[in-house]
Amino acid sequence: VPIDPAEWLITAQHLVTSPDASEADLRRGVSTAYYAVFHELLKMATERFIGTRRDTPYRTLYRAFDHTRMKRMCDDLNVQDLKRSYANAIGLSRPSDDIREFARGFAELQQGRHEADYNPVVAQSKVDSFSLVQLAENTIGAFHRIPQQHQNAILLYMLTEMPKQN
Amino acid sequence: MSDADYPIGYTATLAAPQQPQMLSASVTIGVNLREIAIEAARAAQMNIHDVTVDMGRDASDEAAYFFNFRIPQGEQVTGTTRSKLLGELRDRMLARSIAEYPYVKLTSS
Repeated sequence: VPIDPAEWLITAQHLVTSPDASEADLRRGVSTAYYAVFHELLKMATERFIGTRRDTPYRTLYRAFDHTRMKRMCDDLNVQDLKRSYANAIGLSRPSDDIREFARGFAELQQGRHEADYNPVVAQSKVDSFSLVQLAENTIGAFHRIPQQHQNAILLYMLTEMPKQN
Repeated sequence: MSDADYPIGYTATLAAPQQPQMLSASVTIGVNLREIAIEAARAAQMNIHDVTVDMGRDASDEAAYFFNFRIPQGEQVTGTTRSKLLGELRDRMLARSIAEYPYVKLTSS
């Protein structure tokens, strides 16, 4: 498998749990943990919407995901009552615990990755890195527990504009 | 606001307030948010030494709050606990009509 998110998660765990982990290891570990979640979502979406054949359409859809759009959707999912557009699109008035756990994990990991990759001022602490890598594992787990029809809606609207209200 | 008002961890990511009235608003909210953060940590059964809160912009350029929790040396925070903490923070903030997103950073004392 060219990109296996499970393998990325294992790599992230190795990087942050090593007793001799360097600053670079911790930063790469956090970044890799975020990308494990990111690629898991892209892989699921592409296989559901295009199929498993790894051809040009597969690559095109896979590359169509945008980090910012995905994170903004997660912000909107991590609430007690969904906005009407989300409620209609997903088919729920309130997000389930699993949806909220997934959404807050994704947003936190994206910010953690941004800090790890681009913040030259602050050292990446081991305790923070360890916690973020575990969070990545939990976030993938939470997404897998979401019923498939809701997963599909979340993946779809991470890719496209939410439908306008009538 | 001087750099000294920001927790050490977030200097590089913070955008300075554009107008003086935003400065006082963020400081006032920041005081309450620290209390919210302590309540949230307690609800998540997290042992903390201290927490600092600051406002800035996140990776998607949205206004956000950054909570830096200082935990005792040698303690770990599991992904489950961190997720609970994030949920407690978000719900407590939403209950006070604070829509900006909370992020957590952990450091050891």
